[in-house]
Amino acid sequence: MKNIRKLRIYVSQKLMATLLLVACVTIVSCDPSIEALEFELPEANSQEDLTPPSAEFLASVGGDYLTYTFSNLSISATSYLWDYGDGNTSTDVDGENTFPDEGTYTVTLTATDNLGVSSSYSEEVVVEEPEVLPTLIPEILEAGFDNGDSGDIPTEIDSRDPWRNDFGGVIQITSSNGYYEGSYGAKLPTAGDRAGYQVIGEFTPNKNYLLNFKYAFRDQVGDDGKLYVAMVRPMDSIEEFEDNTVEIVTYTESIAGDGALLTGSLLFNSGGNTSLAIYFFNELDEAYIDSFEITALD
Amino acid sequence: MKFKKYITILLVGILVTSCSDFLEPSPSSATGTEEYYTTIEELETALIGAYDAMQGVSSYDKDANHGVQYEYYITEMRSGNTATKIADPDDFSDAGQFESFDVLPTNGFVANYYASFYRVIFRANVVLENLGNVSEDTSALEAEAKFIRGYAYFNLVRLFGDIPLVDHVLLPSETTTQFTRVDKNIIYDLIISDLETAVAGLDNSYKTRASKAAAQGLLAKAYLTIDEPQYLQAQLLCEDIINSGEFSLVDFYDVFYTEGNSEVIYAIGYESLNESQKFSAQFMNSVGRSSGLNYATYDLVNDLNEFGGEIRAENSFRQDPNHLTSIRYQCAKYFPDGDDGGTSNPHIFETSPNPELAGNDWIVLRYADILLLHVEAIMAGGNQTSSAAALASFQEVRNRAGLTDPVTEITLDDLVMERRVELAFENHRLFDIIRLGVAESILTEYAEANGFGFTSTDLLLPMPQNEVNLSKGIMNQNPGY
Repeated sequence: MKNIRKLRIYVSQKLMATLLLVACVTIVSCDPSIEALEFELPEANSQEDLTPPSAEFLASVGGDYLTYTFSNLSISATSYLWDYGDGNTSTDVDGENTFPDEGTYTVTLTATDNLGVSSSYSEEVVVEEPEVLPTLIPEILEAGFDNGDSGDIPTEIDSRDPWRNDFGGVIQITSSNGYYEGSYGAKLPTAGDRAGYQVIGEFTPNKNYLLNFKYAFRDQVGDDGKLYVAMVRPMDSIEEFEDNTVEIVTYTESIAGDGALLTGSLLFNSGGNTSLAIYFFNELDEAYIDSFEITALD
Repeated sequence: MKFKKYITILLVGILVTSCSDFLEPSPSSATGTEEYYTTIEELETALIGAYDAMQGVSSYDKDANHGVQYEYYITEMRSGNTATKIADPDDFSDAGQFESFDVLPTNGFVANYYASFYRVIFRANVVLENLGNVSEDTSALEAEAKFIRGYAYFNLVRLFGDIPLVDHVLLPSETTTQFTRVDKNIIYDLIISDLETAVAGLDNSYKTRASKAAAQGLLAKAYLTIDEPQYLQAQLLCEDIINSGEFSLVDFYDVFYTEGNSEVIYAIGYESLNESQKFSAQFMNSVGRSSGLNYATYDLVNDLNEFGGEIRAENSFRQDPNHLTSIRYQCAKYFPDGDDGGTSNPHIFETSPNPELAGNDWIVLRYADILLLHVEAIMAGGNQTSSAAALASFQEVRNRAGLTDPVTEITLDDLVMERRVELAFENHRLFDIIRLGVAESILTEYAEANGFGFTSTDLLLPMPQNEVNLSKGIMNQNPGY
């Protein structure tokens, strides 16, 4: 009997202890204020997005001035929305748009990632028809020799000065009737040891130009006189003449005749040059040259 | 007490002798860089080392620097010109990523080229750094080293965009310089100044080493590539080469199979037995490690047939005689030794026991390229030209190809096509279409026709992932990767 009572006390003690434990566990487990249990399961282990989208693009004009392509340089994004500022939109990765007309348009790229975070980047695009630059016409100093030499009026100006060079003696100035236009002209005597040379610029590269001038021969000796007019790249010495010649024209007394003031011309392409020189000289008989003028053909 | 004096003398003696360089001996069995470069000859060995780095190691070892031998992967195979023999959409092997514009930052060929060309730059910098240790006139060596450095940077900047600027031998502590990407315009400033030095200091005595004309040609191309192109300077440089009279077009087949011909301006040299290259074998059907690389796309073959003329079509590609399940076309410009040109079918290498041997030089610059650059410079960013000088250069290239109909006007599209059919397989196409501003439209169209995904960020390669990792956050990745 005593044993049975002991057993009952023992059992009920154990039961009470178990009950207490269960109650404790139940209470504790239902308490949301306990730190270890505060997270909701779906967000467990989630990490902050350290690389949110960053929108950027590079605009470049295409074949015609109205069409632009836009290189998408965005980082960490998956979908894109282009707003070209002219009512057109696109969801392509790279953008391309033909604007309706000249004007300033604000192009906006919105880059969004799969978390719904987005970033925008805008740039103003100035659509403008490119200006066609006119071909440059270089100035020729004393092109008509009309100030004469220092013995002529105006005495303070010598028309020969811009034409002086190391390749031949200085040209002479003529006032013989019929051998010039305007007030005076240039003269190359029979000896053929004089030359005119003037570096002119600025040329537009790779354009066709026409050099016009007047010329004449005078029959002083029996030989068949020649007059050479050339466009050359600027020379340091006469040895470079052949290599530096862009275009040259030769007039012959027996073909041109004597006395008459004729029109000569030289067609040349400026090539890769922004400055060139006019170079003229004669041989075998007296020659005259006047009224240089340069025009662009394109 | 007497001993005190002796002890003092002994201590002083020890102190004096301990200051000798006994503890820092110069190695007697090897030469260190610090005292080696003292004569022109010794410095020249360093220069040859830089050329060696360009050549690359002829092996399939992934860790070796393969220099220019891997260039076709990252240029030609990314341009719509070439592809792997059999395109496998599930094949994410490194070689298969290029043709579909799916290059990953972990791509081994990209990393290899990057490391190779920075090694070229390092070796050129070694030469430049030691110029002062030589008492003789070193201006020619300086010019040559700067040509090499300019060439290496020009390739890297066009492939990767902004890149680290390393203009001296880096100390181990200079990790910031090693990984900091600087604006590409600053890289171009260095390229232009290096090539200008090279133009001034070189003559035209070599074809497989730097020369004046090679530097002029590269400089012209750099002037046309920069953000604000210098068309006039490029034109004058081309005209200097043209007017030098030292170069001329040769028979189209001979360009590639007669080494040192008068058309070659600069080539990276190889010799069949001792200095063989591996790219020729890789272009064949299962001769190298791959089943076939750098095969012509149908897009290229169609253009060669339609616009290239018979001579160029015949000598640029051939139908793969071994591959019988579909029609595929191989590059015909660099057949390795023992290849008979493909007349036997199935193909048998009859004359060479080792068809992997190939001594074909890699032509970096040739006269036809210069003539077409001349046209490009005169066109000056416009859409057409009919300048007589441009027409003459353009016609010269076409005449050699048997296309003798007189051309009276050259449009931008004409020029792009002429460069494609003339220079196919020569690693120019990608750079050409980028430089001429037509890359996005051409590659978008090509990608759409072939089911690839091209976006404008594919025009630059990813920075190699291992470089980005090693930089500890200094090096950022290119957009789109």
